[in-house]
Amino acid sequence: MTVTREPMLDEPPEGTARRAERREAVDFDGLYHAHFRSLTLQLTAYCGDLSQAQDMVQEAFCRAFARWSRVSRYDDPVAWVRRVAWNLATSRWRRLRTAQAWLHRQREEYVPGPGPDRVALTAALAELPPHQRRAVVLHYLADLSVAQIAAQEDVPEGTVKSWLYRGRTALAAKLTTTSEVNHHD
Amino acid sequence: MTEPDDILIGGEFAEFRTAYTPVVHPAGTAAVRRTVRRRRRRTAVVTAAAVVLAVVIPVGANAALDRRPGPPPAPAQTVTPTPSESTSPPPSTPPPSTAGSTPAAPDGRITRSQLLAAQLDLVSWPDAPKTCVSDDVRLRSGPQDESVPTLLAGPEYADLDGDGATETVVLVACRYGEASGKQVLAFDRDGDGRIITMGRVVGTREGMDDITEFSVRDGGEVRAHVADIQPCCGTPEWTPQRQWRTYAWNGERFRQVDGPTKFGTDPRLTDLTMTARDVVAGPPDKKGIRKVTVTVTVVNRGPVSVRQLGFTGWYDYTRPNGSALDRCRNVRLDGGIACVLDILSVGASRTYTFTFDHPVTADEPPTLRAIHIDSQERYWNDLNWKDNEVELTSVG
Repeated sequence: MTVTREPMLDEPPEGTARRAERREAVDFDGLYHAHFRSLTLQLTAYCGDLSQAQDMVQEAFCRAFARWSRVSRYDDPVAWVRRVAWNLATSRWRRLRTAQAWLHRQREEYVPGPGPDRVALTAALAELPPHQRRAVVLHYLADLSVAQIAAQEDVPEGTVKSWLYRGRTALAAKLTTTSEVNHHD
Repeated sequence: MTEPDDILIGGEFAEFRTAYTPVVHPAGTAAVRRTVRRRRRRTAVVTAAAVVLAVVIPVGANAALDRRPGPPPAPAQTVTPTPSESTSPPPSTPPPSTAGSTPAAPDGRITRSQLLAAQLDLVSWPDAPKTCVSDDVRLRSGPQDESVPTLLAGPEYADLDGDGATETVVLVACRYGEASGKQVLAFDRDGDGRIITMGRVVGTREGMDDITEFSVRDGGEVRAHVADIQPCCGTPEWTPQRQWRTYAWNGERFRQVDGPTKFGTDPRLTDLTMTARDVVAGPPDKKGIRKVTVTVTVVNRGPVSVRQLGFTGWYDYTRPNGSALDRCRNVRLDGGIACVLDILSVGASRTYTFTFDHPVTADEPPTLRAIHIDSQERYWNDLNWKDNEVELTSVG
């Protein structure tokens, strides 16, 4: 994801500054475009609302950009953005803005809705306890390992395994029921 | 976990990814830069907001405000929360007497079991999943947990069109994600005894997202309890504004005849504004903890007095340490804790100096937020929430 990696030894100081600026531009934009969609998908699956998910991911990138000089030096900047985005999804930030978002949506263009299959998945996910839902979404949509999920959620790996196990079992049961019901109809 | 489960769920998520990826619309990095620029202007020179306020708020309320000059505020900061048009009078429609006196009108009293057994025509569901069908629908009985048309309330009976016979009114819903579209519908019978759809009394739409109950009156009017939003996904249940609106048949369709026609600005909300100054962050100690001191001023621009002024922002990354925070009464809000300090009447302002510890390892600079909490410990949105929050970027 880091595109420019050529610190010139003989670069004059002001040139360095310019280079740093340019590097920032490339990196931040690159990170944004490489990860905005996948992060939005994760939060959509988690909170069941695409428009809200887009807002939260945008906010996370805003917070990253506000301190980009530091975040960009992290080993894995996207992990930072993802963590902030997920914190937003589970925090008061989202709750306090939910009603606001409803109002704003009056002015937004309509985002085409998903088909029934996706609704079945989000409906099934909505019934999982939040921890399990987070673990399942991070595992299946963010492709995170148990260790990575544990790091993000700040819990032992065993806890993540148990969330994943329970979440997956409940989800499978729910999805199987849903498809059976649909076949009957 | 079993392997088939894993494959099933993996497949569902893969389909989810495929379906949603094309409809994600990133606002773009230019928007990120604009937002951050705006916030920097706001937080670095917190007087910007105060200067705007000085124009608007009543004299006396701004005595405590910091009046240092600052750059002009960005016009983009002023957010109009809702198009608050002046309330127009309800549509004047003639009373439901236009239907002629047809002899022996068919009996439109349809029982619940008849409704559930019949194939009904509903009004189409805007923006809904395909399973929210509207033609030849067999209604499910509640509770409603799937995205199919479901009978939520009713039937209730009244002579809606003045034909001397009874018609039937129900509330149906179809779940869409975590919320539901809803319709209040009237049914009748034709000369052959078949159930026909008389019409939709009222349905949810953008800006009127919920219908929770209805009742019928002897005169043939239908009252619906409507709300501006449908709480879901963590929205507190007290958030919606609710109104009773009355509808009547005008010979062709149902029109609203009484009650408010719009949701204006929520009269329960007020406009708090917080500004911060004198941010001092000490050097990190051996454990990497910096002691931060900040002075904030909160103004209640009205129109509602705040019974409990709450602050959040310490509990994510920092812990309070002395000062005004000693007086905190901790109130648990949904998912977080607020430090509640005082009443803040309309037009009043209060200034606090807070001191707290902030670890240098924190992901974000401390962000302080002023929150309106009522006497029942319910927290409320703000008429202009953008100026309720101050990010102490200089602390880092």
